[in-house]
Amino acid sequence: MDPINNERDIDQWLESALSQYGKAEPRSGLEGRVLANLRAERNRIAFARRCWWAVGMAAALAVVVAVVWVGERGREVNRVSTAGVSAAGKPETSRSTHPQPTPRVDYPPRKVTQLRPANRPTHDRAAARTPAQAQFPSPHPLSEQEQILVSYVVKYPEIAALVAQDQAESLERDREEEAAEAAKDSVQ
Amino acid sequence: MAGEAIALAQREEDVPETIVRQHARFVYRIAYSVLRNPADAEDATQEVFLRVLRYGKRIAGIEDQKAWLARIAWRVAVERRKRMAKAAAGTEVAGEALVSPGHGADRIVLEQERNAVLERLISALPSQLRDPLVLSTLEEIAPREVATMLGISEAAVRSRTFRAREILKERLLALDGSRT
Repeated sequence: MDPINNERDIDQWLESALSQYGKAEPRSGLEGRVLANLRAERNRIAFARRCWWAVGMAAALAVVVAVVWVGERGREVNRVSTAGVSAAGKPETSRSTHPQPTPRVDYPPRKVTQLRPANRPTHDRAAARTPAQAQFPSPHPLSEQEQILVSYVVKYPEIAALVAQDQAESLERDREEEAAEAAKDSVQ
Repeated sequence: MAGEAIALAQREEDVPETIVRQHARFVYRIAYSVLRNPADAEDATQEVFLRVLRYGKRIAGIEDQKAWLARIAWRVAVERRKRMAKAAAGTEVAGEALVSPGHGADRIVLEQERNAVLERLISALPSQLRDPLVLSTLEEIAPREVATMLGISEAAVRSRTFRAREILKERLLALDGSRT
């Protein structure tokens, strides 16, 4: 009964067994299953790509919105600080035609408006809220030098006040000298 | 122009499908020769073609697609066998389950038993001898391609296959002698 009874038989059997060893047949429809799997994988990759694209677009949009918001906010802060400085009346000293009395650092801004109620037009409420100096000459946007001056005053208000005080004193001295000279001329 | 571009894109998309239709069975046989289990061999075949899909347009530039596929299939199957060996360390060889004395005639049972023994003997060979032997049992692969796949010379493939067969023969004789 035993087919393997000597070395030659074993050799033959091994030969045929090894040739059978490599002859494996898959279940029918292997190609179809593989192709279906490939299609599913392709769809999955395409979906993932679309998702990444959407995420990228959303991130880009968020960045743009953030940049615009930050820019707007910065502009608003600048506007507020400029308005605050002009209300205080400190930079207006250079533009005013009449030299002001010696400015004090601790002067409240309202005091300036209270000192000159006659210059304020009564029919314009919005204008009434701003100091009188801003009404005449008519308001116009600040020049570049004025803006620099404003920002300097905002940053260093005490130093600016000292400079303004010094300039006012020098103007006063000049006026006194001029008056003295005029008196001398009239005597001669 | 647009029509040509679409046709080209379709052709590029069809490349994996063409490869599947041409070589799926070949890949399966390589996987089966390593894994010796139809379900695992099919899983490995699926994995091979998923890897192929990742190559995309580069597939068209590969000269010998069959040899290239054979290498991928071999690597995938060997990796899978290692993983399975780790997972099922200590369990019995699946081939032994095929031995069922209750079915059919004595001769069929004996044949099944010998095949199971052969599988066990082959799996017990050192990988240096087992790999060339297993690959050389596949009709579609020439010794030169086996040598390329394993990174050894063709002469080494032949000598290792011969040694592996000698060892198998000795062990089968020993088993047969111990039985009689």
